[in-house]
Amino acid sequence: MEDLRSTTVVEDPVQRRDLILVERAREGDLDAFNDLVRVYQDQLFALIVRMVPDRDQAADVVQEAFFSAYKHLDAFRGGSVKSWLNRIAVNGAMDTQRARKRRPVQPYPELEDESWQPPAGDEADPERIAVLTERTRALSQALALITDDQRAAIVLYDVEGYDYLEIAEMTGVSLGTVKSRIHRGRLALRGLLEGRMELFRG
Amino acid sequence: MAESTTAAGRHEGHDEHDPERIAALLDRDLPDADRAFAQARVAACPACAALHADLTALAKANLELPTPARLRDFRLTSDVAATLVQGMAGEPVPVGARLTGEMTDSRSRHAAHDRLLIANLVDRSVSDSERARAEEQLAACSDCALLYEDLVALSAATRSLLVPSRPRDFTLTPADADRLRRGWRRVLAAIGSSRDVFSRPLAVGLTTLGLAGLLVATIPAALTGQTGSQERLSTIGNAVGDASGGAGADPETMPSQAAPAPSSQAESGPAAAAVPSPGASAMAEPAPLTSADSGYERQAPDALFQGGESSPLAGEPDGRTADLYGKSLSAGQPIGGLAMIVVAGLLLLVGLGLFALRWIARRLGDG
Repeated sequence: MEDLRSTTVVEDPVQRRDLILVERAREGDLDAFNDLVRVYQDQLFALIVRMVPDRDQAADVVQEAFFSAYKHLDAFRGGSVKSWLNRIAVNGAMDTQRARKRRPVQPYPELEDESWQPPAGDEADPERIAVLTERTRALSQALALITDDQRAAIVLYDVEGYDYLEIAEMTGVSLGTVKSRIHRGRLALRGLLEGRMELFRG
Repeated sequence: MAESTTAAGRHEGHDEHDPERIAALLDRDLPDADRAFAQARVAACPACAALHADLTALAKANLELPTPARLRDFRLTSDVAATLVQGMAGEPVPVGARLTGEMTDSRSRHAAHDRLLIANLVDRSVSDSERARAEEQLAACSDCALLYEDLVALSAATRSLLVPSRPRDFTLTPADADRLRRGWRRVLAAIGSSRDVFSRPLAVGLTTLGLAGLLVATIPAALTGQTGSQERLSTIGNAVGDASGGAGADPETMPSQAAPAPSSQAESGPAAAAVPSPGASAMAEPAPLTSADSGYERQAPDALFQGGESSPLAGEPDGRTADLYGKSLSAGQPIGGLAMIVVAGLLLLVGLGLFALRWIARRLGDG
């Protein structure tokens, strides 16, 4: 049996911690797996809710991703646990989007309620919050109108910081396709927001 | 006045001439017949000739008119063009399609620029050549520069997009864990695991054994012509049965090794066991008799070749016994070969199935 802790030289303490948790979870320690869930559930939800413009659907996708990860713990072959979880969740999100293809999209109907959280550190500035909320409303509506593939590629690139190759591997398309989706998606967003670009400038 | 006097009669005739036909002489595309008619009229009528001369002089003067200087530049600015585009919403012909030559504005020039190249520049992984081309385009076109600024701003806005708070805790309960990791899922996950060092060698071993077994079971038979030897064995068995006639079988003296099944012991004579079997292979040969059977070894040939005389084996229909045993003996070879083929095939199937399971488990592991 390959032991991730012994065979992988990991200098990053976060990754080392993750591998130890995975190893313990493989041995049947549910608490170890739930520690991983606690570490990554916010990040994973923030990623998926940008790709699936419906909070409940996004939550279902994240829950299923953790279920799937637990089921296939033994299939984890080392590397970044975060990337592995992201890959599972992104595949799930894309499946969900394909399934709801023909349904009309009302992006984030709960935009006005208090469930929306500003980035850390911005809470003290109400004016900044107001601008961010307005931007979020406009951008979310525009994001919901571009294609699912373009939206996924832009979110993975801009928000998660993955490069073209990583996104290509994650989504199962060629590198050129990823590039094209990102660039065309950006131009489409700009076209949709042409009259409201002042909100984003300066 | 002499002209008017002399031309008076002709003048009256000129009133009936059509001046348009004289004017038509200036057309470059006038048909030859019309041109000939008009020229004849000009030649015959001095008034028509004077008209033609005047029209020709006017045309020449028109060409020589001086052109006044242009008072202003008529090219459109981008603002004007943008206003026109907005004002033209719904018109069938886009404004850009009506601008030609030097009347193109900066907006239509921008429309011809590669906007994907500008979008490319926003990304971190743009190549040097692409970056150089994009920057050149930015420097030359203010609209491209604005597009670039907007795309950068949108990218930043996407990064700082507000997200709703997580609606619930995603930790797994023990019941979830039990449901997810039990039974075949656990087995499958273990097979697909990188920690699993057994399944692959096992799959390789089983597949190899299966293939080797199939080869061993099929190739020698094909080379030696097994069918002929089976027929020979069968013939010998039948001959033995005929020769033994009414010789009976004694269940107590029958070698257990020769009995195909307990239920058929009474019918299976030992006779064939004592018969030499030249065509039989080692697998099909009856086992050697033990010391307890030695008396039988001596008696069996007599019993076999005494025809209808009584013998220790009397009382049983020996022909049927020997015939059955002969069949059993002749079937021994194919049954052995068949069994080997079946076993080898099973090993091969299990090995390949294990490979397939590993592949499926790994695919599932990727989500």
